[in-house]
Amino acid sequence: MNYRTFNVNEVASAAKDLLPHAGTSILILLAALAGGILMGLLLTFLLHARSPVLSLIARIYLRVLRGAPAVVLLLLVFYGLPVLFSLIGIGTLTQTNRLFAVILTFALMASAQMANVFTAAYGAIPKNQLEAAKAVGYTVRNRFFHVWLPQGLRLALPNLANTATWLLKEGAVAYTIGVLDLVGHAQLRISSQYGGGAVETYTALALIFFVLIRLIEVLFHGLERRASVHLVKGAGSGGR
Amino acid sequence: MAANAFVTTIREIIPGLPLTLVLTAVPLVLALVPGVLLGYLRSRGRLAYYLTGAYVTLFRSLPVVLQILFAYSWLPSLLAGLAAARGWTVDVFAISPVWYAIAVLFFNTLAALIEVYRSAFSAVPAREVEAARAAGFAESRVFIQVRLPQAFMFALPNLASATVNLVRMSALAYLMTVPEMTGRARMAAGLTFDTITAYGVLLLAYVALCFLIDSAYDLIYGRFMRRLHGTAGVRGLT
Repeated sequence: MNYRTFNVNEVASAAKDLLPHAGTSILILLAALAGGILMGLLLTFLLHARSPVLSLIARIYLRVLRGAPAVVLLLLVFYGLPVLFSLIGIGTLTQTNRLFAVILTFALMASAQMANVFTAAYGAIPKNQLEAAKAVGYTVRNRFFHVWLPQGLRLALPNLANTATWLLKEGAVAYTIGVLDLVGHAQLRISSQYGGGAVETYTALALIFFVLIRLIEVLFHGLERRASVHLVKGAGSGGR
Repeated sequence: MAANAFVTTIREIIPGLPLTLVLTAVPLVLALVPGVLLGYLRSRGRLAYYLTGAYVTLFRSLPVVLQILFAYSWLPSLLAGLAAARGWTVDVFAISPVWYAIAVLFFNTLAALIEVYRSAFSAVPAREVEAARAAGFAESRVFIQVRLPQAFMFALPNLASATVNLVRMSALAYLMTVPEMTGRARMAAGLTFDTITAYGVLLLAYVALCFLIDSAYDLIYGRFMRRLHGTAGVRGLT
């Protein structure tokens, strides 16, 4: 008989063990999101660049990232980075580099998503605003920082929330290269009990993920509301 | 040496391709019909909206990795317990992990398809449904001749994304010791000690596969659009 019983107390104790390690998962998420936004902005510029070579490079990059499974990209970055580093002549593989490999991988994944998000946001901003700004003498930089970015970020917020929850979920593969995030610690806990309490530990993990994702959604929903406070009737930002 | 590793890697990965295709096609085909029906219900009834919503939220809140770990540690013992209680004579532990992988991928794909079809059915213009009703179409005919073809067309780009996501998800089946492309690339890496070649080739294989899938969907989309605009002219003049 190989049937195990489900122990609710064990779920609570697993949750208590795992919760302190949510920090690592959140750190990976935030760093990857920040990196993804920056790279995504750059990618959006390349995509819409006048030079056909630059936009071709950006499109190939997006193509590759569209078909890349997170776990495969992670393995490639993890094993490829030390080679890249030794070519430049710095560093060896350590735990920090593991974390760095994870963050870099998911920043790359996020950048492709963000490029699509920003492209959509770019299309949603009325062109007459940019033309008006140009007509009154705004430089390219001013148009970007004072017209495009504030509205683009607001329009991108709902998709940013999606990207954030997606990153948190995809980030769960980080444990496969030995990063001790939530999943990594769950695996440690199970193996320290010789495979005991696996179902309970995974249940606790599922609950933690569920709560974290709801938290991200609530947070972004609040941000969206704050960002659109000025959009009262009659004072719309959409021009006339 | 590098060229040798390259050849070995390709030789190892290619036998994994059929399994990757099975892990993509089977869940997709299984989820297609229930996805359309539940997506339609989700776009209509209030109760159906909340029930399907709960299902979608559940699967969208759990990392696929976690679902796979869950299924792999829990399903066999659950089935074994069930088999023992019912007196079945199947050896549950002999069931191939491929089936567990297909189950996990199916549930996730169904969640994705429900959302794809919900938005697709919502995008069908209400005036066309009303016109069909006014012309005396029965509800079943309205569904089959007016709603479904348009919803399918609206759904196609998102269906392409769902399929590509499914291919990417299937890479995680190696965690269940399923020897699909990723699992076999790991073996190749163990054989050649050239991890970069192994995972580089693997990445290119996935990218090429997803590119082919996207192109196929583009082709279907183009045909479908021409047909819808050309003959019936349903959305012709808008």
